[in-house]
Amino acid sequence: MKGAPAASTTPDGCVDARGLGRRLSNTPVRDVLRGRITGRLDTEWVVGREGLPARTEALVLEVVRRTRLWRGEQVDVARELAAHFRDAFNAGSGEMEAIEGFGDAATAAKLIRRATRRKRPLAWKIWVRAWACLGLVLLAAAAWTGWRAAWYSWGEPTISRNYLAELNAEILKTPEGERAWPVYREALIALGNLGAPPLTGRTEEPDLWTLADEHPLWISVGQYLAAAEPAFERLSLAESKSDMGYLMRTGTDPLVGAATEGLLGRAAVPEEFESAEQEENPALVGVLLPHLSLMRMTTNILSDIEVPAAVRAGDAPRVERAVSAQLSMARHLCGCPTLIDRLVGVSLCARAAGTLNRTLAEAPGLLDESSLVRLAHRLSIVRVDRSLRMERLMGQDVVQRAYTDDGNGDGVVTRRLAAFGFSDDPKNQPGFSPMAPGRREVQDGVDRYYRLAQEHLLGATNKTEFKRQIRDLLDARGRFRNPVLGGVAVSVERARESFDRGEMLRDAALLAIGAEVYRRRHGAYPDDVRASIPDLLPGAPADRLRDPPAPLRVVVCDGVLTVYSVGDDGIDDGGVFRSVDPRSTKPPDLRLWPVAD
Amino acid sequence: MKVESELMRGAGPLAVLKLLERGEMYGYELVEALAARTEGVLAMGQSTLYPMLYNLEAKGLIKAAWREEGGRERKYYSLTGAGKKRLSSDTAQWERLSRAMAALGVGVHAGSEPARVGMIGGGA
Repeated sequence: MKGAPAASTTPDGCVDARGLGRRLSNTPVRDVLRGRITGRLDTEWVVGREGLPARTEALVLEVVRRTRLWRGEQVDVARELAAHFRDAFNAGSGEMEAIEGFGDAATAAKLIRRATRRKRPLAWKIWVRAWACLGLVLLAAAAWTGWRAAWYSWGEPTISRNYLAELNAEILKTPEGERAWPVYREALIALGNLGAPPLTGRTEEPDLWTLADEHPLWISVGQYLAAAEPAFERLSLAESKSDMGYLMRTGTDPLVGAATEGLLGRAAVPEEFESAEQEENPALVGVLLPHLSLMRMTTNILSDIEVPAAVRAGDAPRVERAVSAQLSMARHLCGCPTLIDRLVGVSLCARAAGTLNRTLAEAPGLLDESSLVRLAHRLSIVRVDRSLRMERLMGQDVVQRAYTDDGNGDGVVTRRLAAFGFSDDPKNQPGFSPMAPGRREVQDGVDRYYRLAQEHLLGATNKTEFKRQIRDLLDARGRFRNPVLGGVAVSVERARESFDRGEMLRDAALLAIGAEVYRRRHGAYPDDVRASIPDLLPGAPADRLRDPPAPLRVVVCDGVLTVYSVGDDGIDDGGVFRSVDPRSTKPPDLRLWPVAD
Repeated sequence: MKVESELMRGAGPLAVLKLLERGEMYGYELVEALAARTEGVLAMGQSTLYPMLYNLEAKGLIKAAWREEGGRERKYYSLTGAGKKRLSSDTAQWERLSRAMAALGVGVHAGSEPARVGMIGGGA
């Protein structure tokens, strides 16, 4: 500062009596770097040098303090005000007169501050403006966050559609006499009332197919099967029904629950998922499917107990009835609205094909040609419905239950979304976020995903194309950015794989049955299996893992007929189903018949 | 009689610029000159004067410099080129305003109070 006093003397030549610490703390860094401890930022010292009366000095210091200017600016103002008062006193003014003439200290400080700040450099003004803008942005963001948080905390969604009722209304369009579930229900309850079967599918249990005739287990198996006969008989009555007709609900039918307890020794679904009472308009994601466990277990009983026992007894009609019952359950489940039902249906179909395969292997002549043709027909009508309508509606239902509705299709997220508990990991639960997308954006994302997923499931796009299509719906970690999709999106790639493999397995079984019928008629398998059995097969079954699709591969080696797919790599390895090199990552061919265990 | 603050807002800076037209002055000098030459009409305290000086300085109309004179350090203010231009244009405007007010019969009496601030410099 120009004209600043020397560090060690006053303008009057007096020695600067301030201590080194005080001088150092009032010296600009620039001066210190130059080796000068000037202490020139010491306002009190600067004012004190004028030797003003105490009240005047206090007034100057108060005004300067109130300006809250930079220290250098304060010193400058203090010097000027002090000099002014000194001039006034030198001119003969009294202290009271000078103080009264000064004006209001607070007003003076405010005006001095405002005017002095105007003198500051442009760079500082830009800096301040930038911070002011940033502050405004932060303020706006805080206001926005507060507004969104208020909506999140206190906003209530408007639940206008009852999706469950709509879906059940469609199921109820099937005449009651055409619904299979009431028949299955009675049969499964009867089976459940018998308690746990003698074999429950555990690996350490004996295999009835290879169990010696004199083994004592056959006694309990016989007793169980005799008791289960009415249930099996009842089960076979469902075959004539056109649809499953299972009415979806959020709780477990008590009788079905008891049957599951009896068969499996545990509840069909964990207790925490059960609703205490049936709501009028429950969430679609809360729908329980307790029938699936029962049907799986029943299929296992048929495959592992009933059919081996029937083969041992040489009872072909029982074998056909059991496999037919499995195929009926598979067919009915494959036509159900939910993807999970259909995935279970495909696995039951595979189980039935495997049981038939084992029967033909263990007792080649047991099933006659007409039985095989009938089974082939039942197998051929197991068709998978690849619609994702129910899952899409599930997404829409979550949106209507988690987001407010402004009446124009838009709204904001509420705390209700977190209540869905989409993830076991609390860190992955959708929570409050001021930047959370609105209802319309979320809904559009759900609809878009399911449109693409539907196309993929129907085979319109391959895996690579599908991944590319949904890439912008995912975050850096490959998870859905859309909070609803994060909870309701299905693993469509795995579903397609399961459906493709299940249908190929079904087709391979059909091919094998056709070839078996041909062999019985002509004494050997045909040279060209597909061409030789047009009356038994509607067409050459396709290998869905080949792009473009090509017929499944069929080879006969040492009298054994094998049907296979080229596998995930789309390359025909000539029927190599297990890589010789254990380090190899190359997918081998996929054997479809004989059915793998 | 002092001038209403609204009128003072326009007259004060012009009066200060006019006083500095003749040469540099420090704060106390300006206060004294304003009080004396306007017979107290444009007298102003430090709480008004110094913010006004800092504003004029921020606008580049005046400049300030510390200087020691007679063993005392004071901050002297002087007009800049821009200040001289502003003084000229403001004076012309003030004269037009005065004539207009006079045409309405306002401020036409010859009395103890000056009718025009433009007279400040002329009275020195």
